Amino acid sequence: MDNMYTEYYLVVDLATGTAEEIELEEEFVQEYVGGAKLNMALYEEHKDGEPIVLGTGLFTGTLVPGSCLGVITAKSPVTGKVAHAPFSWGAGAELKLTGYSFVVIKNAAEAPTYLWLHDEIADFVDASALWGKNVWDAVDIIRDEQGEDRIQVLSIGKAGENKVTTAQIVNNYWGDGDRFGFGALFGAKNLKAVAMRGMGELEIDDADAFIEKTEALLGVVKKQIAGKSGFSALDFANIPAALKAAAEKQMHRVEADFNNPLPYKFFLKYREDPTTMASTKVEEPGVLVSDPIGYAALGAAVAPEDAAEVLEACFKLGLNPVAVAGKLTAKDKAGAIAELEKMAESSKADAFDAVLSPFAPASERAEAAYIAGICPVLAAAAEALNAEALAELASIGTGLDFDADAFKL
Amino acid sequence: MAIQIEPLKCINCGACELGCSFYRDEVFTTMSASIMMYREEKRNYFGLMLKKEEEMVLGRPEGVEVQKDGESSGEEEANASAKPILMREPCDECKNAMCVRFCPTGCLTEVD
Repeated sequence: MDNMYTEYYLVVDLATGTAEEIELEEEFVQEYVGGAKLNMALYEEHKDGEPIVLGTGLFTGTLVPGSCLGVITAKSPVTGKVAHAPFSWGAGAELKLTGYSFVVIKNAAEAPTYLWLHDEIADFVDASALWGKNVWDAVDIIRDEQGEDRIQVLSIGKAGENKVTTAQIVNNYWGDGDRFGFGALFGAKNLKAVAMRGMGELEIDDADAFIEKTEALLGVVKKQIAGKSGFSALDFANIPAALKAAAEKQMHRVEADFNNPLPYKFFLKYREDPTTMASTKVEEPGVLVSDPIGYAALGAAVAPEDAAEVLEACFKLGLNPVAVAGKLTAKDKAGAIAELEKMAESSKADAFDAVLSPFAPASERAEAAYIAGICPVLAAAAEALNAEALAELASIGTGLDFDADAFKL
Repeated sequence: MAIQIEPLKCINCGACELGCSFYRDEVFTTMSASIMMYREEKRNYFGLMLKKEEEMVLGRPEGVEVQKDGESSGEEEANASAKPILMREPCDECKNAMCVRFCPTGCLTEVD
């Protein structure tokens, strides 16, 4: 594929330690576009290997507003269906820039392994020393080992290693909407992490027209999200007033995903004064509320002022906060974290019925966002990011012909 | 035109890196920009670095600092993050700069 995507996708067989580059053909993109839809086609093609497919959308890594999204597609041990969870922050774009817009991960490794994707190279790295480490320590070790702090890491903690269905895949240090127990699938494959860093380049068919349309779209999107950031962007998360009040006391700064004009994520500090702007010697001053629904769920389970620290524990253990919140009995922080430690050894998520992660409001725009590679939280807030607009941009960027129906699953 | 940074308006989205890289190479990448994000992720400490002809402009949350070539901030982690930008082309102070046009918050503005 000449435009918007990389030339190849990758099929990894963990059992044999081999990786095969396969050409990403134009006809394939014309039929399946990308993101969740193209992932699904790859899943079906490689179904025998019980694959986990990591994929990007057509616009992931481009200047289209909200172009941060990557999608994990696999058969969920929670729902029993093939489902799609998001990975945002910097990881979606970074995957594409490694040179592989899609990666199919088949079978299981004999021993703990992490996959290191960089500059059209896939390395299988011994992860024995990482097995048993919490997510935050594993990310630090991988970044040290590979020598760059901009490496993006999807990894699991103890929960995933123990294959509990409340496990989730964590994006760097922060949970990212995996409600489907995909962390347990990483564990079953002996896959501790996928680390990504790339220096790739994405070409555009009609670059001038694409930039002109994209800039105009950004202008409209900015008007539609005007005044929204942090809590005000999160009506859908139903964060109760008491939890908001507790968070306001710990609030540091809001922050955005890659090329996302909507900074709905926010960082809470509870180990140093939250107004501290300088870099201090406190290495872990708090947590990024990257999963506001998870935060709200924990806030209903424990004292509001403790919810952030309990969320941090979930991220370190690689537990899905929504799945575990309802199982907590302790109301105090120490008791809740002790219970989470046990849940990371053995716990089961309650079944629910969804195919797209219920991380953002479900809608036609969310569906289109999961195909296009656009943040679904932004898509929910900005009507301009609809299938018609995305189809027009897709046609300009690729030189192919897309209509709005292409952005439906 | 010069670029002015208001660091506390930065949301660390990286649109400036992508825009500047596109201006230089007409492709989407983050590798050729004269402006670059840096981040100490667990501390939520982040800002921007802008490479100019003979100096580096650091847009830190505490404020903007200008370092002449060869000077060091004395902060090891920020210096490590800064290394990749040392190899890049300096900002050519283009007009109607893409880093500014695609910055969603007004963190970057053009000034005479």
